[in-house]
Amino acid sequence: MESFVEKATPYNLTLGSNELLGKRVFSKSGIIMGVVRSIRLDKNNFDFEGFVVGNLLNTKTYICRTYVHSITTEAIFLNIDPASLLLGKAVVSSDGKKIGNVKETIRVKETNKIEYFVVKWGFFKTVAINFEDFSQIGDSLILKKDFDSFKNGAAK
Amino acid sequence: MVQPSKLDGSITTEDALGKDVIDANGTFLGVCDKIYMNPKSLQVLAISIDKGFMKKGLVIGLAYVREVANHAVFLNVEPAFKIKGMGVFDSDGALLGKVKQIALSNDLNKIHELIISQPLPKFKELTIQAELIDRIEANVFLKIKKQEFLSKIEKKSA
Repeated sequence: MESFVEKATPYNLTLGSNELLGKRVFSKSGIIMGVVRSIRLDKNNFDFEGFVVGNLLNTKTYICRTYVHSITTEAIFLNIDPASLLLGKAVVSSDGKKIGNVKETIRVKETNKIEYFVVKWGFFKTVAINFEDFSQIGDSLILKKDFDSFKNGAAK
Repeated sequence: MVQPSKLDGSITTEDALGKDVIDANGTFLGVCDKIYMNPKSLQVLAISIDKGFMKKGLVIGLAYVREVANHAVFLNVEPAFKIKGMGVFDSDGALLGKVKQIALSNDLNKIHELIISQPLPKFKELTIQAELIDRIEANVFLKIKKQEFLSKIEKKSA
């Protein structure tokens, strides 16, 4: 194949969009987010900016390249666990009582940095709890204190 | 006959039995349904976890219990049984199969090897030694690529 290159990356060091489309995307903790549905380029300089991940439920998520850890022949590995993965997870007080579930994650603009969670508890109640008030975030989110300290806070 | 003050801060079996058991990753494993004790020293040895209807129970040694809190028993470990059913991928992210069985080292929570079932159309089971595993999180990831792993297996069987 003939190529024309000037002050740019040679062909053999580039990746084709066809090589990325359909690739599995893993979050930092190994959760399969879905597969690459489209590649996004900067409109002005044509730099690779990110990609759209689609899953079986047809939910689409745009991930910028800052959050890409590595690209292999089989998959793309992210360096984050997107905040959306925490939706629905159980919220537990420091003494083990299940309080409710994560209804919403409020992030700093569109970054993956979480400011606070909106937690659904009781029948129709919600409360906002800051990210720093959690001691552990895993399969469930465990608070540093018991829930009484947060109960009276209204959702922002 | 004991002074009540000497019991300050102590708990009873009632404080643990019937409580949710939460592992180190925040997973609700089940309910504490039994406490095992040495009949002579009365030392607590382990707790039993009822994982639910039709599910095999689990016995966790005392060393893995972090705390008995007001509403739950917290463990300081993630039990190895959670790995069952997880996908196993090579270092590139290629799927090798799913964890079918876990072999632990003695009675510890340490993995000795995994037996995986390959995806269709292959039905052959493969054994993965612990030293080939890079990390175990939501899925299992090996340190090597699929081709290298399959070559190792072929060499072993030859």
